[in-house]
Amino acid sequence: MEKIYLPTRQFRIVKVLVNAKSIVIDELAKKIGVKPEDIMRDLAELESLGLLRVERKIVQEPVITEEGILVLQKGLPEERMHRVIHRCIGKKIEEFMECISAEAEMDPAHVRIGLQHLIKNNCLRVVNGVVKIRDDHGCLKALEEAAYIKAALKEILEGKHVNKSLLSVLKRRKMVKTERKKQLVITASPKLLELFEKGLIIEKELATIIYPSMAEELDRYIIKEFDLSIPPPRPRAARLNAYMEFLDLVREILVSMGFEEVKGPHVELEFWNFDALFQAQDHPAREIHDTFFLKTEYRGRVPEELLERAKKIHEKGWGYEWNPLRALRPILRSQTTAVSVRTIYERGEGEYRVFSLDRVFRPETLDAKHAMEFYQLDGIIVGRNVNFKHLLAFFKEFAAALGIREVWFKPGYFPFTEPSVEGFIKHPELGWIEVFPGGVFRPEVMEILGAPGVRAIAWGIGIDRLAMSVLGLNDIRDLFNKDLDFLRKMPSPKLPYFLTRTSSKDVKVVKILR
Amino acid sequence: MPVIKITKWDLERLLGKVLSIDEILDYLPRIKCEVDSISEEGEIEYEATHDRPDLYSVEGVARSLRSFLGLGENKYQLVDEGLKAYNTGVPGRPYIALAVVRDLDLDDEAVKQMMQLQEKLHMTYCRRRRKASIGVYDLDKIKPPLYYELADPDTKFTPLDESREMTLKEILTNTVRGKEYGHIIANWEKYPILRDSEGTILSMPPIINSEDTRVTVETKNVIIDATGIDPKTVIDMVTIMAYNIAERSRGKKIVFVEAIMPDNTVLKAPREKGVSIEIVPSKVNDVLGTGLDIEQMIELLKKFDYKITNSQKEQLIVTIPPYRVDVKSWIDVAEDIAMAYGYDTIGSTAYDLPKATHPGRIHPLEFLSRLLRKILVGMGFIEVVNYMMSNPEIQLRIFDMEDELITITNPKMEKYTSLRRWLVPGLLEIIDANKEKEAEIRIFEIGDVAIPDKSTDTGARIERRLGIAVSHRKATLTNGLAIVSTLMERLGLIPRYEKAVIKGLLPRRTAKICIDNIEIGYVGEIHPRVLLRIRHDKPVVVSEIILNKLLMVLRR
Repeated sequence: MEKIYLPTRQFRIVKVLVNAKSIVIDELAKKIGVKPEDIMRDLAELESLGLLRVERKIVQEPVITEEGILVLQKGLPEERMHRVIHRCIGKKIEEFMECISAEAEMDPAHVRIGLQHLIKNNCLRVVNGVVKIRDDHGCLKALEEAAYIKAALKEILEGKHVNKSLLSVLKRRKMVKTERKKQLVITASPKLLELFEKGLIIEKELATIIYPSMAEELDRYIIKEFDLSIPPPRPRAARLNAYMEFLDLVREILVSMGFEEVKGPHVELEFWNFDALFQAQDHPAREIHDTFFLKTEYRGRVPEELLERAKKIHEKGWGYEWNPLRALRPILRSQTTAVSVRTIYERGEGEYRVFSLDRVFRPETLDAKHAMEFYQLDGIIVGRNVNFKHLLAFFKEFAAALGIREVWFKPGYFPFTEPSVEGFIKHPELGWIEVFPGGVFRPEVMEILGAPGVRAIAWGIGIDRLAMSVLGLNDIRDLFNKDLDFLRKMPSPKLPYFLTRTSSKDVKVVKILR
Repeated sequence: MPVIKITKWDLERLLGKVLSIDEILDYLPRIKCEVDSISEEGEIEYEATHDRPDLYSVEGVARSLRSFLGLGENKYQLVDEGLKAYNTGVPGRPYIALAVVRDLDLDDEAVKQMMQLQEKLHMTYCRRRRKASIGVYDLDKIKPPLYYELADPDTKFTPLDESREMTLKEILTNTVRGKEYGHIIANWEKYPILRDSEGTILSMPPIINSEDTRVTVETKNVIIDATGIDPKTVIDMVTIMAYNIAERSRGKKIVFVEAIMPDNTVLKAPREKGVSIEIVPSKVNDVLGTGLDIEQMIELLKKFDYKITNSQKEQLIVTIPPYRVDVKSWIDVAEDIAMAYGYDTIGSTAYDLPKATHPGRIHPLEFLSRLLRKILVGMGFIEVVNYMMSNPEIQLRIFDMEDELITITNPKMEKYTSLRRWLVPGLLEIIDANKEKEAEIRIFEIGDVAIPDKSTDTGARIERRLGIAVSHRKATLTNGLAIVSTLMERLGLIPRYEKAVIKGLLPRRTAKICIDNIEIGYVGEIHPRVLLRIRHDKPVVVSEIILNKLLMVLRR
């Protein structure tokens, strides 16, 4: 014979049934502490396993009569009589009965019944028409019997079973009558009794972790179900830095547009950061408020031809005496445009496009909105037929890649570009923000770099504000957050470029910034 | 960028046209004035750019909009009345230029704008008065000719906003302006003054004007001066001041003043017209990416007040407006053409990049960084990033190191005074920040460091490095070696380890990492003394690998 695994409640039903053999559903439900309707499904399943029978039966049910209720309230007639018997004993039978009726407030019919029972039990006897005590022992016996009857009545009241002989006494004394009632009766099958006896009916185990070894016997277990509305615990995962991931996505966009990545030194000479860009040596951007200068007497090296050209062009353009020693001072680069101009000097008058995405430095006090060190995305497209309109097209294409739908182009000013533009984007959360400063490198710049025969369109985008919005940050310091849990919880960056087809054609150029 | 405040009614009065808010938001940026705010009372704040000092007051904006909107031509009446000034020689600030504007109609707002223009020019073009300084005086309160000369420190006059006469010396030490700008002339024996023929002192450049010659709403005629170290700048400043103030003159009447230099050469101001420039329309179209014909181009040039003196199919000669100091060559004119045409017009049909002629690619160091990053994450590490800016305490002192750092002279914060020269200090900072919460820490950073190196052209060597740190109760050198070996094997390299001594690391538990005799980095346990100093109670194993060297190895 096979083992049968039952869930906990069915197992409990079976246990009750093995003891009772047959039981009405109300009583069964009461025994396991649930409502009858809650176990209907379990019973059906157990029946289908052949373990029990569910039958609709008409059963005789004892019901307590008015007489029974009176007994429960005041006691049996013999009891009531016995309480006052000492006041009436020794009287003639008629007087005795009147006395009892008055003392115990009983009607004559009940007095008669009580008297019969006490006489029957040898408590009282009538001698010459006078009622006398016969035997105290008989009285006790009569009271004892009355107590049994009362207890049985109480049990019936509570819906419990009483044995047949007691029930027939109750019926005879009209305290109880039987009524016919429909009930579901559950009866244990012989199979159940046999299986149970042999220990083949087993309670199912609750399983939290399900092992492959359980695969063939999954019916032995109750597979624990999880509450899907409870937030699950998070793993202490290893992960890439979300900010670095974002920068890599930006690199991928640029590479897909045909740009090659270049790098240059963070410790840079003023020459590459400013002079090569035709920024006059007394330009405000070259003061201590905007550039980090270095504690060193070291003067860098720049090819002589470059210095000569820079001197000539600066002095002609700005009308001052250009100081080569100033140009050779090292600083922390304040713009990655220094990398772009180094590239133009190295590659000369070709057709190429490059970008750099690296850190620059400005004298700022670190707070939620400002940082002394941040990433800049600089790019140039160099060639004979490169023009300002291409630059605006690049901005639109890059804006489209970020999911931006509206841009605004404002004339701007940078010492090294002409025409110059400041591109604004309408960011879904931040509103209008300026992100695209750029322009066409001035002929003076191209001349200094030794590439007067080509044009270069250039831009330098501060990428951090975009990074913050993509990563859902409000504080710029969080890009460099040291808390490992914070780093684990940062969302992985995603850009519209990688999720959908983006195009500059979907970007509208607005006329007015409102 | 300077922020300029003007009022809407004043602009409308000068322009002779009422403007809606939308029109202001539309037009101002097109002439390089980025509107910051417009209040309900009609106060407009905009950011002007460094190249257009003529837009640092409302008069310049009105003039620009007049031609931009085609509301009329900008004409000025330039008169020679034979006015002269004598520059008797001020070696430290040798140049003075002057101009007169007549028939003015001033009110409070007009005087405010004049002062704003002067102040904004001081802060920008005049380089906080170091390069030049400007003064404006009521011409009717003085007797020309004027004299620019050096005077004894005990010379007296009543400076602006003061109620008594003060000596020049006193002015330097006791007035707000004297304290702010006194340093420019502080070590001079004598101080520069501007006086009239009767000895009335107009000003002590570059510090302060006199109270007696102050311009008020009653003033009808003004004389403007600029003194400084560069002749072009002083003429530029006087010219801008004169043309902007002349917008308040009934006949727009400007009078030349000749400043006679000690050597009898003459500096005459203001400029009557700008230089003429040759414009080749095809070159303009080439740089802008437009297809404008010559008529269109002429119309656009007029919007920016250029006078076309000669037009042929392949060549235009244009004269620059006298108040424009930024136009150096045809490319500057090209920008004005683009602005007149509208960046939005050009931008709305800008769809295509020039054809790419080469494939794009990321930098090899970035490729290598990505590769290592992925391997390390696979090994259960978290990637962290730190600032390159650091300080000697964190970089060197806690490790008892005495190496040199790239150090800045003008730090803003004590914590950020130098550039890091290795990654380990930053990794330790991260371990320190997380030690209470994490029993086992495995982190890495890929970033750049700067090492002083005179053999490079900038005096510093920038290295891309990988830094790894592991910290838990049982961390030893073996953990580090296991990680480094796994990394190298993934790259197809076989590392060799050699015992090494590195400051800050525990001797006998430190090794150099070599690939074919090239040392690419090290691995080791942080010295317990260092950990004790930062109050960390678990061992820390670190490794640093120089990716530039690793790349070199991989390229062979």
